[in-house]
Amino acid sequence: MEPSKSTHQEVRSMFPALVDDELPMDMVANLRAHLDNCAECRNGWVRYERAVSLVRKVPKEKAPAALTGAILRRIRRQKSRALRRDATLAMAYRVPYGMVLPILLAAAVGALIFFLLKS
Amino acid sequence: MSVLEVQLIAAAQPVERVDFEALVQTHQDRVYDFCVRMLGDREEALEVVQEIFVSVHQSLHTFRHDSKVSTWIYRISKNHCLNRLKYLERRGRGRSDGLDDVPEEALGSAAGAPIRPDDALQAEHERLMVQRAIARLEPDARALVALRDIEGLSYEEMVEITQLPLGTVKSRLHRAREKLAEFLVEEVPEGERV
Repeated sequence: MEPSKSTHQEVRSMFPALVDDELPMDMVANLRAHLDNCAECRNGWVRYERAVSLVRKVPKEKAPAALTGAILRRIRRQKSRALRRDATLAMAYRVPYGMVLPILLAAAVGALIFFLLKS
Repeated sequence: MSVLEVQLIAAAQPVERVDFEALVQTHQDRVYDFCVRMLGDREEALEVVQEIFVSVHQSLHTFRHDSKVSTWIYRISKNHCLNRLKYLERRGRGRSDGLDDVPEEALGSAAGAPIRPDDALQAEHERLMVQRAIARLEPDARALVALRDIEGLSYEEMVEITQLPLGTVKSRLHRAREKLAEFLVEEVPEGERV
């Protein structure tokens, strides 16, 4: 008997578990039996397995030896840039030098008036 | 748990107490490899890896100890790569031919024994074929294939990195692999196809 369409879909949905060796033995046996008798699913499986194994075989890229230094330098640059930015902000929010004396005088006069009124 | 992870937990936030250089050295190869797969360009990958570690450094205090450091770094890497791909797409900039150069590693065998020229050529041919096929995947699908089949991560780690439910990760990875299989078939001359 010809396997139903849903069987084909079920079989294909098990490819990830099959390729990762995560299927129980009895299910593997059933799946293999289906693949033996179904050219469409068998071709699908062959392509799927080949794709996964080719990707897994690709050699790893190794970072150049100078990369660590470049990263650490960039972090130091970022840090000093952040420090400069903080210093600039602090300067911008600082009370202008010329205003310090009048403010102090006003505070002293205010305090004097307060004490005079109190006494 | 790695020494660095113990150090991070013991440090419980202060960045100054973490040996950041050691952290970079431990993770940079995997991050670089992941970025090369995602971006398909070694120069871009080098730039993005630096940005990733700057982000890692700036966010060390936000690291929650309920996941592995490597998983956390991969999550940052994935986000950086997706952003960079969007940026490159907006700029209409294609990839350079950086991956067409034969890496030294491909010419030397992993076991240290000399490799036959035919084998090296075949391996290089396959590597380029796979890289071209991966580059045709949508960026999210590419990330899943890279994380699982190249970096060898578990589904649990992928869930943490992508912040997607396990079922979604599995079904999207399955679809990505099927697409990849299609693209790889297209790479093979018609007479030699399965």
